[in-house]
Amino acid sequence: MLNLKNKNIISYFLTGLLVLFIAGSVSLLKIPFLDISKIPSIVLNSARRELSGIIFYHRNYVQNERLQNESAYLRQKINSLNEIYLENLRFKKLLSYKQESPFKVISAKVITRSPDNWSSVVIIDKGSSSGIIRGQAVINNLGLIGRVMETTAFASKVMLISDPNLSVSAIVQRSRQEGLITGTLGTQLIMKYLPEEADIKVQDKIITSGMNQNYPKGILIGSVVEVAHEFSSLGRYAIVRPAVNLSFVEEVFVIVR
Amino acid sequence: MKKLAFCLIIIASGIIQITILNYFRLFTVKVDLLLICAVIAALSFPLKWSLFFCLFSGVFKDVFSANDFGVNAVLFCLWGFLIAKLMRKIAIDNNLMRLLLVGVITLLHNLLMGLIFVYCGVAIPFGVLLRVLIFAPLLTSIFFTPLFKLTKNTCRNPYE
Repeated sequence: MLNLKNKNIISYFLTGLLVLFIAGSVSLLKIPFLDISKIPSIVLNSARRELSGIIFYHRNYVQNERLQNESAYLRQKINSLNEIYLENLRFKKLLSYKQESPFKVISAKVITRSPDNWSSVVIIDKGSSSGIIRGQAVINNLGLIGRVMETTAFASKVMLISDPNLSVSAIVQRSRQEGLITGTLGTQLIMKYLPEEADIKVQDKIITSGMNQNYPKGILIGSVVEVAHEFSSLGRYAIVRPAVNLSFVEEVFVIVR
Repeated sequence: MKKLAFCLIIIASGIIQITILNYFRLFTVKVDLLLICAVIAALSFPLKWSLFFCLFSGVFKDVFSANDFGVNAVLFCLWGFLIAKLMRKIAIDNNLMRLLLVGVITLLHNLLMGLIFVYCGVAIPFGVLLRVLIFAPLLTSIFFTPLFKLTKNTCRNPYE
């Protein structure tokens, strides 16, 4: 009876050990087994894919074409949304400026530009019907842009400050030194009629002086990038970089009061 | 019909010049498509019609520019008249001659415009003047051939 029991105990023990061994071996064998079993499945899968590619060639072709069209449409849509987003940012800035501005202003959009190389003018989409008259100053949230030259009922011609025909009385913000800003047809402006002892240096801000009623005092024109002596040695002049990039101005404000 | 088509080409060129060409400037110098149209008109139509098209192009340009009204109209008519006179003396029948002619006309036009500015007391930096005088003829000559080919079917040289 005792022997039987011992035999049973031994057999149970051995069975337990076998179970433990198998259980331990399964986890050990699992990875190589999976690796080996993967090979036929990869082969079968690739064969199935190739076969279905051949069988469903036309369906895939049509689907591919549809997806390509959809992708092109979505890309176009993303571009247009991006443009709207940028426009929205610009309008938000302009709106906040319009609300904070001490002047009464009319917002307008640039519709065309000068056709020749000898003048810097833009045409805006607001005219005398909106209250714009000749001589009014044109600005944006960054600074001075120009002056209204001509108006019709629904459009106005604006001469930019980069045009050599336009002169603006200006002062250096730091030292209050006066001068006259004129355009050069290029990307920079010239501040002329500075005396020899003028207190002006690079990076000084140039603002309108308010001497001319059309340009209210304190509108930013640009910053000094170079100061040099005139050829006659009677005075100095300064090269000024405009605060506004005049080549790509799109929305403007006309100061009406 | 050909004349009407050429009128439409002038209008389209003018609209392109005052809108999208602003983004294709080379050293702030842009192509003068209206001057090209005036030269093409002078090369392709009889004197009466070429003068009309030159005047039309010039007036279109004057309307949108800040210069005194009529400067471009008068100069374009002058170029049209001079080209017609020149064509009686020499044959302008190959591309190289036409390109040379456009280059010279653009150079003279810009030189005259610059001199008018200087005469009126407007100070233009010498660098800007030189830049316009160099790049304007080059750019305009480059754009001449495609525009000439475009209009070839609508306007033929009466002297050919």
